[in-house]
Amino acid sequence: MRQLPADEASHQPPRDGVAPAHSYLDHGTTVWSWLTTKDHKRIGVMFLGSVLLMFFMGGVFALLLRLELLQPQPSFFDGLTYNRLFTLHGVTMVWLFLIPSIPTTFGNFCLPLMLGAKDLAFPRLNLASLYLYWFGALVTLFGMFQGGTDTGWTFYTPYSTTSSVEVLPVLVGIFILGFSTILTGVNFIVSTHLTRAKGLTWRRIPLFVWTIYGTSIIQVLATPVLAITLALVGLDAGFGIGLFDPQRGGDPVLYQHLFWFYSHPAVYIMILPGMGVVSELVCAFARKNISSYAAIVISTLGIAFVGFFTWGHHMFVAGQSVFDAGAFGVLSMLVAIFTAVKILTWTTTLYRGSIAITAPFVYVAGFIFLLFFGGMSGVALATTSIDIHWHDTYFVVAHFHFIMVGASLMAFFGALHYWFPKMFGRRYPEGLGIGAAVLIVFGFIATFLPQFLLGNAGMPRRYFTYPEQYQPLHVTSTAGASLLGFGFLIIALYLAWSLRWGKVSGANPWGSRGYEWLTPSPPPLHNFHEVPTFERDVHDYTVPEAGHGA
Amino acid sequence: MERELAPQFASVEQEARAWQFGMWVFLSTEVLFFGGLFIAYGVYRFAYPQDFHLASSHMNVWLGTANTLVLLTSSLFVALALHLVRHERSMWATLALVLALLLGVVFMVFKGLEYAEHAREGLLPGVYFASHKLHSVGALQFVTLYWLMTGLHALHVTIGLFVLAWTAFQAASGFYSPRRMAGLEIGGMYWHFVDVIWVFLYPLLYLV
Amino acid sequence: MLKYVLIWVALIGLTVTTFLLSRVPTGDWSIAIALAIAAAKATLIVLFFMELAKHRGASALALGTSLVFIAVVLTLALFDVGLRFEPTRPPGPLVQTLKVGQ
Repeated sequence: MRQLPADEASHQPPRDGVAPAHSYLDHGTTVWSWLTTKDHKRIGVMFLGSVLLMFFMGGVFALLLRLELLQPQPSFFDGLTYNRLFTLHGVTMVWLFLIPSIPTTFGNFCLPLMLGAKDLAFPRLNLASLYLYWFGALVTLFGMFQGGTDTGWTFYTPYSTTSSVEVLPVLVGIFILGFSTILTGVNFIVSTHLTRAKGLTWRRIPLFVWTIYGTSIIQVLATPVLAITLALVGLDAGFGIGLFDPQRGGDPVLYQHLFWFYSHPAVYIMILPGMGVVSELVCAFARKNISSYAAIVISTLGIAFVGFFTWGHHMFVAGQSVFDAGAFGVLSMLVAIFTAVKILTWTTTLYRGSIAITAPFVYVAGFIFLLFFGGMSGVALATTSIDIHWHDTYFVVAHFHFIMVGASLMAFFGALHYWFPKMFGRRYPEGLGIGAAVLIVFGFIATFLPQFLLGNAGMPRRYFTYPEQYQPLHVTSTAGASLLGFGFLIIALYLAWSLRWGKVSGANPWGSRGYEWLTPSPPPLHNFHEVPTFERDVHDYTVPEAGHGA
Repeated sequence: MERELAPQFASVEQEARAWQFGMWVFLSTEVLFFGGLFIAYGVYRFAYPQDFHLASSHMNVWLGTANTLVLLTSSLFVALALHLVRHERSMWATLALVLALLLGVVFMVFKGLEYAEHAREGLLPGVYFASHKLHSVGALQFVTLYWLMTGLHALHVTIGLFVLAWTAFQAASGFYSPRRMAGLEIGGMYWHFVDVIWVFLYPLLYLV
Repeated sequence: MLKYVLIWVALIGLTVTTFLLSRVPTGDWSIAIALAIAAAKATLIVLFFMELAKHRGASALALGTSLVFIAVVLTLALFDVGLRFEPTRPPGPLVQTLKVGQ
C-alpha cells in the first residue's frame, strides 16, 4: 500500500510560483461577478452547488417515503400524498440531480483543463445553460408543490392526461431543463472537437473526456425526443389534443416508445460520466496507466450506441409485440458485454498497482460493486419471462437504484473528493472521508439489498401500504436509508468546513498524472499561465517523478 | 473594428468552424425534435392508411404547393446572400435577405389563410374536431398531426423570421465580411433547415 | 451565382413533378415516390444551400446519426404496432367510430 505524497506537497509552493490566491476564485468576489461569469470553472462550481441542493431535497423526500413504509398500515401520509411524494422524489433525483450531476459540474470544470483549452467553445451558451437549469428547476418544483403531480416520473398516458391533478407546469419545467441539457451537450461536443491543445489527438484525450463526449452525444440525440413527447402530453393534458388517447384512436404504447427512447439512454447519461470518473480514479490511485485505453473508449462509445436500442425492455408487459420484446431483450444484454469490458479493464489496471486507500478509492470500489451487481440483475430483468414476475416490483426499484443511483452517486462523490482540491485548493480530512465513504457504501447496500428480496417476494412498487409479512425487510431498508442520510450529513459538514479551514492542498495533492493537474489548484482565470505541451500520455506513471505534479 | 478572437480558439477559422459544427449538432437535435412527430405520423399512418388518405384529400393542396415554392425561393435568396457577402457586396446581400424575409412572411400569411379555412370546416385537433365529412378516429389523428406538425414548423418559421431580420440588419450595417460571417452562415442554415422540414411535410400532409 | 439558381430550378422542378405525380394513381408506391423526391430535394438543400458539401469534420456524421436514429425508432415502433395482438392495436376494441361535436 502506498502513502500519499500529500503532506510534503502541501508545504511546497505551487508549481509555477503562483500563490493560490490568484486563482479563478479571486477574480471578482461579488455575487454579480459570479452571476455574469463566462468562466467554465465558476459555472461548474455554481452547478455543483445547485445539484447538491437538489440532491439534498430529493434525499429528504426519499427518507420521508422510507418513513411511511416503516409500517404496513398508513401512518404519516394518505395515498395521494404518498404518490405525490414519490413523483417529487423521482423527478427531483432524475432531472434535477442525476442527469446534470457529473457532466455539468466536473465535466464543466475539468473538460477544458483536460483538453488544454482556456474555456469551452461557447462560454456564453454555458452560462445560458445554467440559467435555463435554474429556471427549469424553479418551474418544475413550483409545479410539483402547487399542482402536486402524482403520475410518477414517467408520466404514462392516459393516466397523466386524465389525472385530476395538474401536470402541465411540471412538464413545462422539464421541457426547459431539456434545453439546458441540450445546450451543455452541444457545447461539450464542439469543445472536444475544436478546442483541443496542440498534440492532444483523439487517441490521447483523457478517458473522462471520452465519457463526457459519449454522454453529450446521448444528451443531444435523446433529449429532443423527450421534449417533443412531454410537449405532446402537456398539450393533451392542457388542451385535449389526444394524440395518445385510446378513445380517440391514439396509442398509449407509442407514448412509452417515445418516452423510453429518451429515458433509457438517460440512464447512460447518468452512468457513463461515472464510468469516466472511475477510469480516472483507478489510474490515479493505482499509479498505473489504464490497462487498455482502447477497451475503455470502445466500450464507452459502444454503451452510448447500444443504449439507444434497448428501450423496449421497459415495456415487456405494456402490450408490446412479442417480436419487439424478444429483440429488445437480446439487445439489452449487449450493454452488459460493454460494461463487463470496462470492469475487466479497471480490475486489470488495479492488479499489481500501487494502491492508495483514500476516500475517492473507497467510492471506486463501491462503484464497481454496485455496477456489477446492478448490471447482473439487469441482465436477468432483460429476460422477458423472468421480467414478467419482477415487473413493477421492488426488484426493479432496487435494480435501477443500484446502477443509476448507487453507482452514479459513488462516482459523483468519488469525483467530488478527488477534484475538491483542484476546485478549491484545499484538502478535506482524509480519515473522516474514508469513514463516511465506507458508511455510504454499506448504507446503500443495506437500503437496497432488502428491496431485491421484497420485490422477489412480490412487493409491488409505488404502494404505501403492504401485507405484514414484508415489514422486517422494509424496516431494514429504512434503517439503511438512515445510515445513508447520516453519511451524507457527515460529508456535508466536513466539506463545508474544509472549504474554509482545510489544509492548503498544493497543485497536485494526489501525485496524479491526469492532465487537469498540470495547472495550479485552484487554476488561474484562463486555466494556464502557459498551455502545457502534452508530451506524455495521460496517467503515464512509467517515467520517474521529474517535473510533474508532486 | 476587427473583433477579438475568443481565447479558447487557435484561429478565426477554427472559431468559425466551431460555430458551423455547433449549428449542425443543434440542427441534429431539431431533426430529432421533429422526429417524434414524424414517428407518430408513421405509426398512425400504418394503423389507419385509408383514413389518412381520405383526410389528406381535405387539405388545400394549392396553398400547400404555393407555400412550398415560396419557401424554396426564400431559401435561394438566403443562399445568394451568403454568396454576395463572400464577394463583398453587402448591399445586394441585404436586399436578398429582405426578399427572403418577405417571402417568409408570405408563407405565414398563406398558412394563416389555410388555418382559417380548416377552422371553418371543423378540421381541428383533438377535442375541437368538428368535421361533418370525416368521421373516423384515423382522420382525427391525421388532423391532429397536421396541426402539430405545421404548428411546430410555423413556430420555427417565426423564429427564423427574427433571425433573418437580424442578419438583414447586420448586413445593412456592414457587419459581415468574407472573414467574418459565421453569424450569417448559421442563421442561414437555420432558415434552410426550416425549409427542409417543409419539404417533407408537404408530400406527407398534402399529397399522399 | 449560377450554381444556386440552377439548384433552385431543380428544386422547383422536383416540386412540380411530385405534385403532378400525386394526381396520377400510383397506388402503394405513391408514398415511396413522394418521399424519394422529398429526400432528393432535401439533399440538394443540405449539400449546397447549407453547404454541407464544403463543411469539413463531423458535421455530416451528426446529421446522419440523427436521421439513422429516427429510422430506428420508426422501424421498431412499426414492428411493434404491426405485430401486436389484435386488441392492443390502435384503435383497439373500444372505439370504432367517432362521435363529433356536440
